[in-house]
Amino acid sequence: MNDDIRVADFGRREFLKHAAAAGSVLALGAGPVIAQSPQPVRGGKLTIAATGAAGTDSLDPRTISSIYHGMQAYLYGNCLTEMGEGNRLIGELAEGWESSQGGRRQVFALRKGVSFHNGRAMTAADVVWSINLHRGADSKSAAKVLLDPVTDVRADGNNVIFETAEVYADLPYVLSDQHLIIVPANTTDFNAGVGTGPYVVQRYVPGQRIAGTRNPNYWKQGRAHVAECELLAVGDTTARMSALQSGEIQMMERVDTRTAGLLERAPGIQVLRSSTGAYRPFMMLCDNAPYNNVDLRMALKLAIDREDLLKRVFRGYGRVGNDHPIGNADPFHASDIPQRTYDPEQARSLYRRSGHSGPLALSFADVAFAEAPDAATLFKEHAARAGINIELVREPNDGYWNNVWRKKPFCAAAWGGRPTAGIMLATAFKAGATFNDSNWNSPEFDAALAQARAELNEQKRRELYSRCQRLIHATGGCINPIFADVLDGARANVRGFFPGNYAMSGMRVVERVWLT
Amino acid sequence: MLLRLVLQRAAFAVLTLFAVSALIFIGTELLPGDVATAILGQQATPETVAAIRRDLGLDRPPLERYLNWITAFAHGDFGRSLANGLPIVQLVSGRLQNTLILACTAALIAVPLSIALGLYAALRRERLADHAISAITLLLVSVPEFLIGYALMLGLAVQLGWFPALSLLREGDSLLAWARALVLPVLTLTAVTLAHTMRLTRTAIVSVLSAEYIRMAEIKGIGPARIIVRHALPNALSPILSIVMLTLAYLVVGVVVVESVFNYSGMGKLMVDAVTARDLPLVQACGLIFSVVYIIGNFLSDFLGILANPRLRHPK
Repeated sequence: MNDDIRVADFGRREFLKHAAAAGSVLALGAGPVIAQSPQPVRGGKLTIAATGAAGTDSLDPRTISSIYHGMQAYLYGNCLTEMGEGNRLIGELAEGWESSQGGRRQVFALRKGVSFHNGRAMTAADVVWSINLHRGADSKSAAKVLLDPVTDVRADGNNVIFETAEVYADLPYVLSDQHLIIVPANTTDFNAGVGTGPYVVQRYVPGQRIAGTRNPNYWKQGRAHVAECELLAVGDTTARMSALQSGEIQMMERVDTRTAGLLERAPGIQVLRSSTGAYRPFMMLCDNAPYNNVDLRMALKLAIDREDLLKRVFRGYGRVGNDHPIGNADPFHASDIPQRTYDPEQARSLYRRSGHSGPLALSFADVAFAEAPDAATLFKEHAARAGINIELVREPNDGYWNNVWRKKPFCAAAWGGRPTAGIMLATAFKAGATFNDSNWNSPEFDAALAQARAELNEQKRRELYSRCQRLIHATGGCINPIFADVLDGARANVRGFFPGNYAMSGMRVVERVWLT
Repeated sequence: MLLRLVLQRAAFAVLTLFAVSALIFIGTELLPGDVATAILGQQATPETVAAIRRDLGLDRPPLERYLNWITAFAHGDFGRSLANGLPIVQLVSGRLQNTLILACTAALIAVPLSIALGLYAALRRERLADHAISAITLLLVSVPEFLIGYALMLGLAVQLGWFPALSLLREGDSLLAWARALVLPVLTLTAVTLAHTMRLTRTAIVSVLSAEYIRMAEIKGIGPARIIVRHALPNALSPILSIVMLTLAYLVVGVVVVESVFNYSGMGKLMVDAVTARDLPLVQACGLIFSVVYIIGNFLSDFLGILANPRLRHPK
């Protein structure tokens, strides 16, 4: 097996190489400086309010669709892998993994001596069962699409073997997804919340709260510091902020950018910023007139004042985007593409050259992202100075993702960061991909992407990913003006927080922070 | 006479419930999206949406789905939530209990207080106290309840820290903790319901006060407070009882906003969640429970009105 690669080692090397670059980026971000206690403190009760729960919820991992749900999952469960500090991939229930068959087979060795909360030992059969929950033609799981390249999962002693039709270098990253927590095989009552995770569920009330006590047999070292944790479902932003200020809760998910400045000035409160790679684009369908014209698409990209948008709508909580989806905290971010700036004159001449006239209808709703109505209004003003008439169409929140997004030719959308550049590009820009929300079709891009995902030489991979971003930047249907920071709030005595790939330290905050 | 009234009312109630269930069904059908797209959100693909629809029978025609549901309902089967498969009865029972706790506590404070204020305003009519009570209650009823809620939260929870901003009734917590959790939502509900009953009580009493038998009582030398409580109130009871009953119904049905503001887990929040999730059986169950509360409230107000007023018991 000469072609074996230790993906875990590769990940570490890659991380060290880019740690310096990432560090400088973080320093520029002017995030909160959290005084780190030298030693984590054990004990105490951590109460967190988060959004996205409903009375109709369950703990079935296939139904996870919000930050609240993800935090619930990581409260009692573990995945095979974990996005650790610095968004570095580490093993979780898998101790290590290696690939063979030219990369089309990946073998994950399970950690020994891990047991579920009910006392039963975790085995490879449990892992296979948990992964297969999300696979198959009838799967209703949102993680189905991530596992589509997988053709077979089977147990082999203490190992789990994944077979894929093509090389799937991102598989170890995919397996850190919150849907893919490991539960006992043949679980029927998911709401009991049995897993291998840091906290044992004591009480679960759908849509209201979940409470847990520290798992006395937790296998992971240096994690799960608080003795008790409770997650509350609080959809109302004012209620979350009031509860944080009065000290009823120690952390709140989703601080509104409009009030984040006020909250930052409140005594005893810290606002935690995470650059997760989430972006807030306006999408054009490239196969729909008039957006099938490259000049028109470029005119619109030049007709938006990104700095103004960042300052006035996002209050500085984010970074300007460069019309491609890879944020600058990502190791594969193409930093050599010149930043596109506001140029109403050139936009005007390109718009004329496109031959289009008349208003362009831009659809948006709050549900796309909270700042969408303001952002669209400002975009309209920017574009007007280039002689482009954007007509604002406010759509209902209900059904927005099904009736407007990917249907209306010009609309606001939102993307969370994906674990790897490869997944992001393949999910949203590959021709024919389900979530290609610009209907962009570039054989050149597809070829470069396919090559990159199977390329094991890091330098070549970087060049190929760079080319992918350059192509999207030049001709794609994605106007990406902003990478938005994710904002969480915490009391000053919450320590140990580090940003992750999602809000709340990648939704794993309950096992990472401690209270002083 | 009373039996006939009860039977007649019951028949109308059943008809009303049918109409309500049909309206709720049509309403949720008209909303964009269904439970499948609500569950999957931005992650929806045509295959996963189709899988959920097939699984839940949502690919059947609407009329068939409605008839299936109403038949099961008529057999006492509330069904299961489409979103999480739990029995509706289990989802609703705890929430209904919470809503009733909040509504009853608010009623126990708001109803006696507003009647007392109304009587006092009638006693002091056209004097400073009367005008002050009228002005304050009118002001409170004009302010949207979420604003009153946020103002109370800001003052009493965030600034002073006397009461929690989140109203959580955790099983196992002490009665004192529950009482503290209830203070802010109860105060808010009291503030918004005070004016109606207060003003109606005052008006009803004042109109009775111009009757001749009141003049007679005054001439006999009975004090004004005694006249109002002993002689005017019984004759003004009928309209007061109807407004009290409607207030009680409002306290159960109309608490959606207050429940959201204070994150109180009651029926209102459950129904909002159910509509968002397009969980039709659950929406139906909530809607029907709300209708039943209103119908019973109306019935009781008629019934008590007749009991309180002998003239209605013996129509000419």
